[in-house]
Amino acid sequence: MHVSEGVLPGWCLGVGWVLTAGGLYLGLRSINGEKIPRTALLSAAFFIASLIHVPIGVTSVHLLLNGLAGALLGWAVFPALFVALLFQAILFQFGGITVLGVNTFNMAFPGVVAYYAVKPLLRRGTTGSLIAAGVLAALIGVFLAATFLSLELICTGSSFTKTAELAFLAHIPVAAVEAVVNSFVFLYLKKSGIKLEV
Amino acid sequence: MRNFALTLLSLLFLFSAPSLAHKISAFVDVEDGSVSITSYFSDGTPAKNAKVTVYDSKGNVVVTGKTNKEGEFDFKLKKSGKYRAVVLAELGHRAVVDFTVGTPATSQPSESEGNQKVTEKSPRTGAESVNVSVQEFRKVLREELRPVHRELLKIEEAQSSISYRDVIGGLGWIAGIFGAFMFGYCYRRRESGDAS
Repeated sequence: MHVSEGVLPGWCLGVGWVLTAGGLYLGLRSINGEKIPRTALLSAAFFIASLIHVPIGVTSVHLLLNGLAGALLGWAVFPALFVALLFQAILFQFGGITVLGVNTFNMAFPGVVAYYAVKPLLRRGTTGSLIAAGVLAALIGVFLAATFLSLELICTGSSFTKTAELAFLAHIPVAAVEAVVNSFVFLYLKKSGIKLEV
Repeated sequence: MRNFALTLLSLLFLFSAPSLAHKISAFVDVEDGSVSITSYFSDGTPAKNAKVTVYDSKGNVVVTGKTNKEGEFDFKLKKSGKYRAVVLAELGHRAVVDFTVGTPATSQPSESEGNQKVTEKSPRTGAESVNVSVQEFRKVLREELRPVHRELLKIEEAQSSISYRDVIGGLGWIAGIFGAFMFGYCYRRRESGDAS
């Protein structure tokens, strides 16, 4: 779901950078000492997750894990994903440097939404609610990111409904896999006595 | 349950073999004015139904089309020169590739005219068979070089995929950046702790 270099017009990239800068500011402020290793770990997980990929029809999709990162990090998901996307752009040429702002916002903002959505469920902490949180985080993370992507691609002249339809269909399996992964991660963290909500 | 979760996670990380990725690459094979563009996602799946636009050196659109099931798009270009192909796949994936049709010497019109004159003159002064054999020689040479050509394309493809080195390097960078962050944080906390 990385937008490539040269696809979007300049103003679109600018808006992306401004929104990402705001997110980064809030994120860096929210990071305290204990949260740094967690941010680094999820940043690394997101960095790797983009290499796990599933070919679907005409396109190919990969795990995003932005819902998981968002649920466990809150606003700190912005710096985490920014660093991961930066190195994906430099080392793998996924996306690019100029579109980094847009790509970071696409991925990180749904994470923040997921954070607020699953917070009460994580706090309750029963097995059922943790699984529900995992599913919810996956759905919000993946489909909200797909929505943002479709909205941005309107700039290039492609119709919103067509892109959105494709993006949604393509990411259904991703969301399903992520729902399972997220649930297990939440259950595992709970069992290990690690604080889930931040 | 815990073991299962761990296995699942480690499996996921195992599957992340570096050939799997998410961007598209385009490769161009030019032979005598017929051009073949092949586009792949960097794990090797062909980019089907992607929009291809070909521009000439002045930026005019020369050819447009779509890739087939194998991610290929074939077309013919009569004029030699430098071209640029832009492949636009679904969901904002884009690849750009530059290529030249014809020999480098004929890529610039002024030079090609000069060459033409030379070849026109040579039959008059020398044997007429020279001109014919040049054509034949080119054909033979192309046949001979075909395996090399394929090999080069293969190398180009291999280079565009992802290596373990980059993955590990990237993880190292992430660890380093957040490590520095942690260091700064701890340093500051100790400083303020001393002050109070």
